[in-house]
Amino acid sequence: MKILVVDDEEDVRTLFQQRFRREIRAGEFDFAFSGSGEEALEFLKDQDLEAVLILSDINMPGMSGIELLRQIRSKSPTSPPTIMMITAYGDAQSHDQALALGANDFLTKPLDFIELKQKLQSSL
Amino acid sequence: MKKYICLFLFTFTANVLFAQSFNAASIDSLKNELSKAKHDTTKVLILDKLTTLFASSNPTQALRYGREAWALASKIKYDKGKVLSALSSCQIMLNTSDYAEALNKLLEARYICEKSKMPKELGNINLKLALLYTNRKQFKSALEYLSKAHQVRDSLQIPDLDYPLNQTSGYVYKDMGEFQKALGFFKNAYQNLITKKAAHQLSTTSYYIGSTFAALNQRDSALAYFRKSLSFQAKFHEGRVYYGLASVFKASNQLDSAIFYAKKALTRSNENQFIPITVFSAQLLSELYEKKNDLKSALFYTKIATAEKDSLFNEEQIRQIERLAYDEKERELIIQRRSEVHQADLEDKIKIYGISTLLIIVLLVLFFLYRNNKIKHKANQILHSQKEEIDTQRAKAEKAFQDLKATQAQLIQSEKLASLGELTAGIAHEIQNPLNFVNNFSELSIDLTQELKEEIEKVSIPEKDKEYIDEIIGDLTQNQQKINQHGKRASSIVKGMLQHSRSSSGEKELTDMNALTDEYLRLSYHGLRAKDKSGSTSRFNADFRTDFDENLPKIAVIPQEIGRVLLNLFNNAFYAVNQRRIDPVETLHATSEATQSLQTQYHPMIFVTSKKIGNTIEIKVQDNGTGMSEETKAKIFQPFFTTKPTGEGTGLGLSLSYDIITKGHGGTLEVESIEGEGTTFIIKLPYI
Repeated sequence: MKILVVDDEEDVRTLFQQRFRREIRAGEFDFAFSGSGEEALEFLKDQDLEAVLILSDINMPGMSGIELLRQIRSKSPTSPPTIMMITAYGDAQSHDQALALGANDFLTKPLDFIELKQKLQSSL
Repeated sequence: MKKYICLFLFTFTANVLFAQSFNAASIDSLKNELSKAKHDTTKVLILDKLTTLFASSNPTQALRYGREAWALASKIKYDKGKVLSALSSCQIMLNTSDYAEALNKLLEARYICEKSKMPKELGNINLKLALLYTNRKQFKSALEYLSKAHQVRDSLQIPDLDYPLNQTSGYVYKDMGEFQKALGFFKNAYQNLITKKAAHQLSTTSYYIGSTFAALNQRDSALAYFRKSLSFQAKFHEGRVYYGLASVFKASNQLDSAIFYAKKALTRSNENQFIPITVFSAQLLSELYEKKNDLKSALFYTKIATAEKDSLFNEEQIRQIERLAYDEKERELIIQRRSEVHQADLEDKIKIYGISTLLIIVLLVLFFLYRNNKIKHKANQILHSQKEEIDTQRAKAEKAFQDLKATQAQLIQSEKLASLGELTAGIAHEIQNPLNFVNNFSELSIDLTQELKEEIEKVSIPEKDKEYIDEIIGDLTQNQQKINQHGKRASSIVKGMLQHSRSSSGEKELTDMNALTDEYLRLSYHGLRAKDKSGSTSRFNADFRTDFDENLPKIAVIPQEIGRVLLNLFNNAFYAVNQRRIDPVETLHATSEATQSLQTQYHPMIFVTSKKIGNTIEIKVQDNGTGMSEETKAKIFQPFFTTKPTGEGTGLGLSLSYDIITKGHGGTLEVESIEGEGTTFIIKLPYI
């Protein structure tokens, strides 16, 4: 199972790679990173969607996470892939919108990596 | 004799009214008119005309008509008719020497003229009276009436009076012996007549001029005017003219001529019933015959003269005239007295009217003054009340202005806070992500440091080096922890900031504010007690009391948010009382000696009340804590402003509370505070 992290922040890649170093080494988590919604859609073209879990930020320049969600769910309304949205603190509107568009789950910044690990493990 | 001459002359002066010639046709016509006349006034006038027409030819008949006219005019109270009748009749009466009746009628006519304002007639009446009194040798009275006639003519400018006035004046003065003066008046009278061509009147005036010349012994002039008088063929006057000629001839001792004219005079006067001329002519003839020693003829004419004279001046007639004159004087005196009384009455009336008018004016002035005063008083009252009203309004306006200023300040503050809130929310969003990285990387670094330490343990390193490495790793770990600690602190600030901008997801619901307040009060109290693990002296210890309005209605609020506000206020209140309890010196600026005493005396207390005021619900949170300065009070609702030590407060509690109450619920949050005595927060929420 490939976990696609979509975030415009470059440091997210570093953070995830360092935070889940052991899991990556153990082959438990396989991360891929996209810096925008557009990149993510491009990446997903060659992927088996059933083997992908998307972890996307909402506020991004260009295509937002919500738009990405809408486009993916417009092609496969039910599943796969599994999509988890990362919302900013207090952004209840985006939270509600994401769930309405078919997001499987959501996380709130700042990320609690213990919680994230548990959610990833249960989804994989 | 002289008297008789004068009388004779006098009677002839009145021949003015006999100017009309005798006309039988006119008499018949008038008699016919009289028989047909329907109105009594017309009858009076016709009778008066008949009187005039018969005057020369038949004086007896003329007087009959005259008396009839007078009686009818008296009966019907026709004053003018009476006056005209009096003037016509009186002339005949003077000719026939009936002076008593003449005087009686003239005085009554004069009274009528005065009463009825008939000036022309009054002038003529006065002249007749002057003639009558001249005849009576009462020149004083004669001149008085003459003067009255002059006054009438002069004051009223009546030209018709000129001739009779001159004629009468001439006669009076002639009779008084002032011949030159008389001659002047007669000549004026003659001039008055020239344009009128009145033959009979010219004849009369010529006669008078002649007789005046005769009196002045100017024989030729006298004869010339006598002859001029005869040339006018006035038969009525012929008797006296003949007498005049006889007198002139007698004076020149031409006795036969004198007898001739005297006889002609006697004959003519008998025909015309002119008794005086008859008397004078008879006397003259007696004298003439006596001169000629014809005593028989002289006696004859003397008898005629005596007989006629008796009829002319009997005693009864004289007494009657005197009585009438006396009555007239008395009447005039009465009139004069009445006039004086009337004048006095008039003066009294004028005085009364004057005083009354003055009194009315004074009263009016007083009334206007009183009215003006009243108006002024009223105006003053109005002004006073207006001033009071203005003062009240000014006070209100000042208060409103102060309120407005306060509201404006509050509004500016609100706007500032709102814009600041929006700004901070924006900043918070931007800071949030990097801060998350800080937190995450620091946490990660702590873990990595721990992993590094574990890995180093596996490697064989000299003890000395190992200690040094452990020390470095220890410092690194500590640093990462510090970074993480402060990062989380910053993160919590950002969270608080974001709560400002976060749109509420809660729904308003009808809430019992008393219950909600009580719940959060207890939550705060117990929370603080549980949290405070400090020593016995600084340990949290406070009391609280509540006084809730039992009739407080439920209101629609978001309970969680109002709860958050209440919790903030209670926490602050408990913090303040606790601070004062712990450090009274600093709080109250007390002396060190008093510190202990104050500390033991101080009883920390929170007093919470609820009340319904109009359409508003008021929750008051009052503490007797440290209070705050005006400077502090002005800033407490600003975000990040706090008086708590670093790390203990974010400075967002009251800012957030302010937003919840004002923006979220349309209410107000106010603060009252006295430094060193305590603070009161007042929440006002609209209830409808």
